[in-house]
Amino acid sequence: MWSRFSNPAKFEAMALAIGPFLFGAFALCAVFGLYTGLFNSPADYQQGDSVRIMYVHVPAAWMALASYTFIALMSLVAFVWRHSLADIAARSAALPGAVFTALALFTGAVWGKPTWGAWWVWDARLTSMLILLFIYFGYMAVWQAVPETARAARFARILALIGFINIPIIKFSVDWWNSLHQPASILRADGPTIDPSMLTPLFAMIIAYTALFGWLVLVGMRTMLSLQRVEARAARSPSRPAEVAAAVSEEGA
Amino acid sequence: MEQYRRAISFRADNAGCDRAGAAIVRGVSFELAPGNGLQLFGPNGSGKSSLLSMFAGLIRPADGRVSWRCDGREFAAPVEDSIVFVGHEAAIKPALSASENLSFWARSYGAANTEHALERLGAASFMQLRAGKLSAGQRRRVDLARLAAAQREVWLLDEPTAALDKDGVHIVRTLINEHLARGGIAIVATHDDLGAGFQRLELAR
Amino acid sequence: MTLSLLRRDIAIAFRSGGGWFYAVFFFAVFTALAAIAFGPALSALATAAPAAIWLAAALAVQFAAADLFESDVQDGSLRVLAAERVSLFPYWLAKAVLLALTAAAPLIATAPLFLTMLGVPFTDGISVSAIMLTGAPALICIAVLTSALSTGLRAGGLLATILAAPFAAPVLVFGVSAARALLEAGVLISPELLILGALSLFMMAATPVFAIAALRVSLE
Repeated sequence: MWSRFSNPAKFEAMALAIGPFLFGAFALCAVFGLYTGLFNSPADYQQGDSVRIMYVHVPAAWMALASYTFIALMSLVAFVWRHSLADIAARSAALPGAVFTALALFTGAVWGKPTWGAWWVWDARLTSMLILLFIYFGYMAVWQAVPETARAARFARILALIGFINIPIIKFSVDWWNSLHQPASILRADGPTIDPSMLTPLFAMIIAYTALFGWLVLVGMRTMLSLQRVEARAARSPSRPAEVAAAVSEEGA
Repeated sequence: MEQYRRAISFRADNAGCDRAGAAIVRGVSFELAPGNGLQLFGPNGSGKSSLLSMFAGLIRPADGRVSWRCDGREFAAPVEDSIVFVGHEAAIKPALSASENLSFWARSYGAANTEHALERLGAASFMQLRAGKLSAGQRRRVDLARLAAAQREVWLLDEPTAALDKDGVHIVRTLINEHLARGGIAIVATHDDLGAGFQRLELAR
Repeated sequence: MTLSLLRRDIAIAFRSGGGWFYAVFFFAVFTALAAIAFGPALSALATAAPAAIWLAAALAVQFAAADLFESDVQDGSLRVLAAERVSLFPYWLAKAVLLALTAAAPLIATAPLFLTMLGVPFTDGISVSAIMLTGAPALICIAVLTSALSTGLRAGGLLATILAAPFAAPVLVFGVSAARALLEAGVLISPELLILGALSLFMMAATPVFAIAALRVSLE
């Protein structure tokens, strides 16, 4: 099975097969989740209908972190097993992850406006998300800034790994910082107060987002593999030792 | 002539390396026992520098393998403290004098006598001058003085005669031959033929 | 090895005509700009002082690290060093200490002066310097790491600062909190200071291997 993940040709076959299923899963779950979330689930007794944005926000926040974990994992795989496919997977996950993060921030702000009265507050979750967005920017920047893709991959691996190690530290420090300045309530949409009927659409949206992520990564990987093939065809053939003079030992003198 | 402490040999088996993600060299096979040298010929861009970096253990072989043998044991990576590497540019800091530059490297080799090394390369006359004021050939001589200062068995040289005049080229040839006579090995990428007594590897596109 | 590298780099820094202490100038300039931005009321400045001084220090160290590896990569010295010895850890250490001596140390030494300009009493300023000293290793290690990741790239200094931001954020959080704890409550050894110290230790332990890996990548 693993050969499907190391051999580009086999990977392409798998990606072509799985892709439509993922997109279908995304579409189905998204429709189901949004419908039940918007129409079939109760409003919050405190926040009213504005709590419904949770169904878009929470899965986005979850995916933001899950995507980066995916990137870090792929970077580790690339580092240990030297799979260029893992590098490509990590790179493909960057933009979707960044978009999820931005979506989480945007929906967080939209959610915050009726609740706190301001578009942006420096609460722990939003601040952590913002820093995560910067991490994505930095990661994507490395891929862009280094002219040679192979070398960019190696820098990116290093950054992804040390960045991942740093995330718990960021979370801890932002929580600390927030507790000093703002004892105001943080929206705990995933706390024990959540009504079971809210859980169904929430899970549906999480699955939808995950499926979308998977589909986007596969599409991105296939695109990059095609680009690689084009580049490889354009590259010149390697130098080889000329037959006549190769390894002829002339000892003496 | 006093022999080197260790007997180190090198072997490349169908080795190849990549540059910028593309294959740049393939199919390199040769073996160097102590006392032997290899000249690496090839047009610019054919991968000579990449090969040298690969031999030095800086790049992983993209194909095949390289191995080192020291006192009967085999290693995939270079033996510790066995290499002197002379790169394409002279690893010389313009703000320091020639002798200061060499002293820095000599300290890492555990050597003390830098004056003698500079003399051998004919660089003693300008050794107090700041390297920024030296010509390319003079800087190259100071860089090559590392070879005379170190007592290391393996020399990996990337166009050591670049920017040198005839005298300089002659000195380099003498140095390399003495090095081989003491049981060292040398891989030299060069346009100047260093003479007979070397294996030759020609990279053709 | 570390010492001889350090001596060489210091000699080069001193002889290259002054560029090495631009970090202090930047520190001064940034503090002045912050003061201008916050307005002349000393009370407002004093509130902003911990943040301003930490920001100035973090940015100054980042910028000072921009060409830390430039020269060695350009003239092939790094390649020779990597080819001729087993471990690049002494090299990393020498560069980190170089940054500490040429950038961080002058900043920390002059911080009390600039803090006075921001309305902080001088004796308090010295304590704030001590707090910055605790966080300095973290800032230095982050700067060395991001410099290694961006060597030889166009706009490398800017890229390095972007990369450094997520790492520097926790240091800023606890550094500024520790300074606040001192200025507002008179507590020097606060929990924030201890965490700051832990961050420094963590960065010293975790970043070298990644920085060295990045340097080796630049040799490929």
